Amino acid sequence: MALCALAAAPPAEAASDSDQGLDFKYMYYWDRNGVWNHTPAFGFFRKLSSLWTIKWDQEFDAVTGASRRLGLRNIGRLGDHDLKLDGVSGASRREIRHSEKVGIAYDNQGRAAAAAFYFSDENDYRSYSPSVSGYLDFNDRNTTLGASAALFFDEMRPRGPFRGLGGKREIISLSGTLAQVLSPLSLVGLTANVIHSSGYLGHPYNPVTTANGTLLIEHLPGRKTAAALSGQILQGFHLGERLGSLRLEARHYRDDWKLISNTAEVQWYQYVAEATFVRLRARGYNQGTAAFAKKAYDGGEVYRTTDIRFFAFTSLSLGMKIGSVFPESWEDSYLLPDRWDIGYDQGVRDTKGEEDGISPLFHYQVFPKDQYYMQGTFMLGLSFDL
Amino acid sequence: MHPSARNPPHRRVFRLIKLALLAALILATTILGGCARVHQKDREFLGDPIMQRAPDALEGNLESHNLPRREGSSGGSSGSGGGCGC
Repeated sequence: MALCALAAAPPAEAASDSDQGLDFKYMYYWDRNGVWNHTPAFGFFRKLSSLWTIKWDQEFDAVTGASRRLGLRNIGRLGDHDLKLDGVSGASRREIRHSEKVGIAYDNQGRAAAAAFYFSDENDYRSYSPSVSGYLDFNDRNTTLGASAALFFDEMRPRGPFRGLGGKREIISLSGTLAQVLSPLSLVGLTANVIHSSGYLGHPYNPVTTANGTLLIEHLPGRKTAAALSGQILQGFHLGERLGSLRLEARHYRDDWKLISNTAEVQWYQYVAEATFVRLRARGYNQGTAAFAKKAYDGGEVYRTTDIRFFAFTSLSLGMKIGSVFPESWEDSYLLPDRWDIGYDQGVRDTKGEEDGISPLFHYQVFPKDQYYMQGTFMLGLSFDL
Repeated sequence: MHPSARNPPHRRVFRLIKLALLAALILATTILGGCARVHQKDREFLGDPIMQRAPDALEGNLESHNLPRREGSSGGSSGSGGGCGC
């Protein structure tokens, strides 16, 4: 299922000193299978006092389908256009997801704590998640030690041909963070994360086709324990008189399904005018194959899956973002935003297509077999100091 | 199957490099944590938005929620669950 970081993030400096503010983001995603995803979201905060802040985040997804199960648009008898169930996946082509997250945060001179409750609802999936976090600065506020915990109570209720499959799952996510200021222009951070999942961990929209053409339901273990370690180095510098920063991040993940992944990301922020910055970034990701995932099944296996998430691949994405402020004269109006940003990331996955046919194993590869899977994400942001 | 075929030399080298980088990071954090003292008055740049560990929280939430499911990855984000719009 989807991955997301829902535990409260480490405290960050606000972009303004306002007592309340509203951030709006609009994300548009596309891929070469014809999948698109419009996601408007907003985050609101209001300071109740010098110590307490309430937060409210809301997110909507209007999506044609996740790329691992779609890609059948207008193909053969499955070209039944939107609003009908997909003959293979059993899922609606169009789907609306809605999530809310409310939280309260306390911050008193280096002692910070936060609690939040998250709720997400969509056609065939519902999730509730409480989370807490705490951070403590010491060593003259040069060192930060933090911990967070999140519980997820999820339930998948498939409709259509896969009705009756799915089920409940519980996830416990624990993380610990150590961050250290090294100089007036540099800091490092280290985060360890342990995730334990139990219950129904599969995705019924990924049926397995055996060598003799029999369609079998996916079957995965009922428990998974994963651990990840990530390190971050942030180094500031001056290019002329303008401040810039270089952010390097590496992450190593492994779980007891024998899947290992590594992520490396570099971001370069640079002010190009007094309040205008440019961000360039590159991200590389590589993962191996889960122990039980195979390209072909004979039907006698204990566990079987064709879920793309459990097979090896490498991906690379490159992106650019620009952010700035609106004229100071706009500050007098609540209706006009104070800051804006706009960005685009282009990704490529080393997953080749299946030409005009549909792979019996991977139903999403409907692009030419000599080409790689491509995807892009556009993001627009507006911030209001209220 | 010969053990070296399951664990070829280049994989062992990568593993060693990863362990060395990790050890270096932990060592640097531990050692420098004991001696680095940047006073509040010297933190002008550390307070700038582009110097934050999470400079844009809402964007970070959106990306960590959407990227793994669109990319189809299993270990690229720090949590699991929460729905996917799929």
